[in-house]
Amino acid sequence: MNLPSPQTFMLPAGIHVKKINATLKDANMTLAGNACEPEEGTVLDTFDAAVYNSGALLIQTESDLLRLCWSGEVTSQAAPESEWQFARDLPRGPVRDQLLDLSSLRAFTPAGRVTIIRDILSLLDDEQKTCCRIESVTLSRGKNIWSWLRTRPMRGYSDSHTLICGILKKVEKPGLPAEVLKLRISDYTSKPDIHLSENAPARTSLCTIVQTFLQVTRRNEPGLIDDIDTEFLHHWRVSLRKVRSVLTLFKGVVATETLDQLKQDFRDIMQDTNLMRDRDVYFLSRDDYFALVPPKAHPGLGILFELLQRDRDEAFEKVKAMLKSKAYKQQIKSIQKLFENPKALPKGPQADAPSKIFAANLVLKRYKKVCRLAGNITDKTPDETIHELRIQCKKLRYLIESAQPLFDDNQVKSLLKTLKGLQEHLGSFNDQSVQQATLAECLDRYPGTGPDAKALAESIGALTAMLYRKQLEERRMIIENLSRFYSPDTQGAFNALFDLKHIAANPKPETDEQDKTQVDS
Amino acid sequence: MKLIACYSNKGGVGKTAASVNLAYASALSGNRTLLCDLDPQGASGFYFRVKPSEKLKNTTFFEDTKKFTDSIRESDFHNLDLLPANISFRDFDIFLSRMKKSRSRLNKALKPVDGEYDIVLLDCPPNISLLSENVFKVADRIVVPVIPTTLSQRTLEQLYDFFKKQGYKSSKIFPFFSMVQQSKSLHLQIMEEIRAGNKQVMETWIPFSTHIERMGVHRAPALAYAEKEAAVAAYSQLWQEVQN
Repeated sequence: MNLPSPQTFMLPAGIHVKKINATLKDANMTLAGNACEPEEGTVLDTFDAAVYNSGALLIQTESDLLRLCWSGEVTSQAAPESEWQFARDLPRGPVRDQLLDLSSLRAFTPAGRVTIIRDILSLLDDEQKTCCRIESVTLSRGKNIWSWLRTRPMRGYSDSHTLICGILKKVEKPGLPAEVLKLRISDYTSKPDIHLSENAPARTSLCTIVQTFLQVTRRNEPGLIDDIDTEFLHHWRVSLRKVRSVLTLFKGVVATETLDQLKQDFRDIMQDTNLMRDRDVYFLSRDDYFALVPPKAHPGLGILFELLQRDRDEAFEKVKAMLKSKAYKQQIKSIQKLFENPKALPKGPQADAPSKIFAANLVLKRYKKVCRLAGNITDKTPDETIHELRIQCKKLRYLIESAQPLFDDNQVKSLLKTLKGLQEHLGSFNDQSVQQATLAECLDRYPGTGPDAKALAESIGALTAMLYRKQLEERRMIIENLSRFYSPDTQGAFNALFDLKHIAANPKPETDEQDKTQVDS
Repeated sequence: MKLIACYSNKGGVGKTAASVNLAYASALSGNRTLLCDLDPQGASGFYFRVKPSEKLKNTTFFEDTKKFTDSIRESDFHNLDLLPANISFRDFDIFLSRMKKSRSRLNKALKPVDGEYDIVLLDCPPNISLLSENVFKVADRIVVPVIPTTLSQRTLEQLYDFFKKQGYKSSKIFPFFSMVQQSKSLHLQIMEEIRAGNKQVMETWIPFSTHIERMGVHRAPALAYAEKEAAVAAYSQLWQEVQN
């Protein structure tokens, strides 16, 4: 069957059916719409604009929840009866499935109100037979209007499809809904672009990296204070951890005294958040935990989660108070200020080293360290050594990611992929270890001897056993991934990219393109 | 792909009305359905507002698979496509008589759409011809509208005789009563007589109805605009019976 592909058109205006019909007159055809009632709707998105960045809008009206992908289809399901924040809160349906794929952890919050008119226009011939359908969505906000049309070709009517596409092409004026409708779509990303120059002093590059990550930290503060979703805290912590790591890993760039003070500052700032993040991780895996243990252990698990919730609530209050405090604001601002001007940053002996050579050397050294550690890991290696490997891998990852703009993007990405594969298992291994310890701690904290205590003990016992089993499985996976990580191929790839002598022997002229390379931070 | 023919060797018995509504009911129950109009008058196409197939002239229906599939038109209703007829279809017998394996040509012509549709409904012209014999050979079921009158009764008997004589499977024939007027005692009497001698007669019968007659005004299957009217709803019931 030769059916033409559906075509999509956007225009920063309403759809003028009369005007289109005037053009269709010669072809003895008409375009007919239905008198569809406008509805009020709310555009929803996450803090990192996951929906919009996927090329779509999420709109909730009184009756429907729809995802309009402007290069594709409109997907819809009935609007949920109760309020919702997360994709998992939605009733089953195609929009829920898409949102879960897109952003399972982030809250969806309003980005603006719109008036929406949905219609199916029919292109009719002189017998009033439909020859093509056109799905249309018109959104308006004040005087601003944005329309989207998608043809639905019909078998046997290719000519009619070609005709209407030709007409719509002429009225089309591409423009995305956010700019046309002036929607407040967030430009936040936890992975911002970093522009580095390979011959710039290491101190300058360090300042650029630190400033970028600190901006990420700052942008997460309001959402963290409002406790919108767990990702605010997570990104806040990750960005600070990256700053801390880069400062340490860029050895000799910052004066020791300054570095020690900064390390202390970060420790102070972050320590209150450890417990909150730990409990968040529990709640994110809540369903998995319930699935891990037999149903008879579920009541006990319920009690356990009540305990964890109490911890979490207390920890959050502490974090909130800390973030709102003058002391924190002053501290973080002064750190930001310190990195504003590279020349004012107290320098260490390596401060003026050319960035690329300096970074390459660091990465290579760190990789060799990880390989040495990895080469000794066997079935019988103690847990502590595996944890040490995890920490070293994390350092290597931060280092590579920070220096990424200085190297070939594709080659770095390929190496990072191997590293990430290994890190996933190292991370799970660690999580299971930490969680077993937390469970033991919970048992100690619950002093009662009544039926609740018994149920709690039983469920903790069952869960600990399952976590231990999973941990053993992760250990097996780590060993499997390790061999890939220090294989001759991967070693060769690391050397080819970061070998100092190799880079010195084959200098490349600095180009604009290299300066614009993005970092996957 | 199941092939269901709506056939009668007598004209004006409600063949096209049945074809159009059965095709609509089939599509509505989720079957990808093709209604193939074999009648040169093109009434099925008219009811669906589809213009005659201009490119499917002379022998192309049987010989040009591309033109055959290109002539299929999507109707205004979900899951329902139509192959419109044109006036040249009146010469099908002439073309067929010149072809080798003239009684299997329809089967060959429909091969390109095998797999695209669950149900193909054939709206047949009212005669016994080479084309009809193709239909008798290829169809999985043949539904035959019968107005309960003596003349129709006689025509049905003639059809059975022909099947017997030519060796076609008469078990494929499923007569149903069409345009029944319960106020006429003759209709009731003949229905009883035919039922008594033929166990293949469908339980469902279609009453005479102005709602069905108005299909020409609406230019749509009666089920699409008057589904709640008993006479029209009978087509849905008939489809269930045909399908089972």
